[in-house]
Amino acid sequence: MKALATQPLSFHRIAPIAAVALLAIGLPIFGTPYLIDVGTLVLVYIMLGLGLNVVVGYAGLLDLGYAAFFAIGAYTTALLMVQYHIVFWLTLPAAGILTALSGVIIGTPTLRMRSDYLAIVTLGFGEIVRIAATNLTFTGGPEGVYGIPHPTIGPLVLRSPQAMYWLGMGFALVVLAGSYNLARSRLGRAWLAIREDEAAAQAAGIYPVYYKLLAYVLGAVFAGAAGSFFAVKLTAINPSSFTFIQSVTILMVIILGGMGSLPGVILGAAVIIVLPEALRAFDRVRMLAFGIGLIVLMLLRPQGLWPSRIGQIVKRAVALSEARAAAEIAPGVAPTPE
Amino acid sequence: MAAASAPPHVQTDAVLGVEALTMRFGGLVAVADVSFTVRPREILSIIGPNGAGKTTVFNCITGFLRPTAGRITFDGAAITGLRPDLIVKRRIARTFQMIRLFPDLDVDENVMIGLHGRTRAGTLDSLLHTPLHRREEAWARDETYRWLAFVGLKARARSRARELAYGDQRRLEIARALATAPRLLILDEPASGMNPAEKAGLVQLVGRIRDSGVTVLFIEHDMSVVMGISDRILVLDYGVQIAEGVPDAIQRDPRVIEAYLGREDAE
Repeated sequence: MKALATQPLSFHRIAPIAAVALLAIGLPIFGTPYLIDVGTLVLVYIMLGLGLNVVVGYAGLLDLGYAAFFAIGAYTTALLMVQYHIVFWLTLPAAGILTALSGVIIGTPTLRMRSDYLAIVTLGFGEIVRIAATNLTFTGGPEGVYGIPHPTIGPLVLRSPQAMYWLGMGFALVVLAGSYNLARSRLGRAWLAIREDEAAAQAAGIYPVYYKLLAYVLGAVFAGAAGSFFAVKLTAINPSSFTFIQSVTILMVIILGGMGSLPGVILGAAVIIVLPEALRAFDRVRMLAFGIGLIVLMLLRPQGLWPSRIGQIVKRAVALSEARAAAEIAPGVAPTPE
Repeated sequence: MAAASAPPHVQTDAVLGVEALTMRFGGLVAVADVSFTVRPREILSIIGPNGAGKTTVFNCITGFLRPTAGRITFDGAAITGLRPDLIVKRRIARTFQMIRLFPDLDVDENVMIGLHGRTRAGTLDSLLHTPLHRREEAWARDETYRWLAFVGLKARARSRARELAYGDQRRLEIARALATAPRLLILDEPASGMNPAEKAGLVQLVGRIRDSGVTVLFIEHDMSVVMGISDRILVLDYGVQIAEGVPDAIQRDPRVIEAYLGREDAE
């Protein structure tokens, strides 16, 4: 997050971006429908990863119930389209407002807590949303909502895997641009300041509670958008897509990629989705192999596949606060600057 | 300036008023019934042995602690117990005894964060990089470099804050505080850990800050710094105010001499 720098575009920076762009454009043209579907799913996880990255990577808040916002977005679009015959595009603002509202409701009382407590509360919230969706009649209970219409652009009905892929790509690019801008903005600096040293941030005139809530709500809205897309992509949704494991998977995307890093999120999403597919040959031990693969990856690259400066800052901040805590316990050993 | 010639205890022109400030931590009384005023464009120092409650007074003024009792006014308005960011908005800025920079950010980014309260770009501006955001960022960059030049760190703008020499880190923290456009700047032991050359530079910098129209309140241990720079001095001992006056008078005050030399607790 070099807020002030305009870095020169070197080959070293361009080459990986060009490779990803080529792959992203080539896939829907040359890929089989199955491969395109996998690509579309990767795009969904890129959106989710980018959204959670605002919460965890930028603002440093541990959210273990992130799938709840994904669910709220998906159910909002699904129900509005199926029950009220509202066109897809008009369900998007509704999903945005509802996820933002739930973000505010959950975030306001909880964001004052320390991160480990926050993790527990968000975990609970995630479960509440899933269980509510399973038991309420208007959400369709365990069967969920099906027969969700395809989205349209004028007379064009987006039905084919290619069309859905491009729609997902559009969504992902919007979310990516938003994340990129946020990191290089007044907001991004405020988050960075809060995460590095909350007291110093306050002394600089920043109110941490407000900016934490803002990160939480923005993350929620990103997940809502991903949910809206997910609903029309699958044309049927049910509570089993929004479990605790889903929240953990999204968290894995950003931890695997490298906290706070946008290329990291893209890479992380690709690994999380493609690796289990690639391991289908192993059949019954597939998920075991996937788990072992993840452990090995984290052991080899604990900082993530494509770490950012932020990821390192988080680590240092933790080490620093531990050092401070130790210094408070034993003032005699506190480092005195001489 | 009028400050030097104004009679003491005339409060009408006071920038900061502290009245009967008391801070208790459980059974410990860190600050007991301390009252003083700071007049526009003066440099007031608070001195006292370790544990005298100096930093506690600062933390109460800057909103990091809510005082047990007492009243703090700034420009005539009560600011007692306000949140730290709202105190900054009222144009009181501070530094910390143990330097608190954002060590992994660049020097210019540290100062730019100090401009937070002086810029307005909201969520949509930040998401979309609207013209307002771009204008503000350009302004913020200029303003940042202006303050870096003021404290003499312009050449280090693109270094990581942690890579700066100790004295420069102190200067950077002051630059970040100045970026909030304070009318009152509160410095907590800015000379501690500095070498003599750095101390001389600091004294000169604080003088320039005052000359730019900012009132300065500061805690200091180093008597050479305090005596050379202060218009008035307030002495605290065990949370109690034992003397207040111009440097010459303070130096001769028997209670001050006793507090500093007469006992063995001077750690």
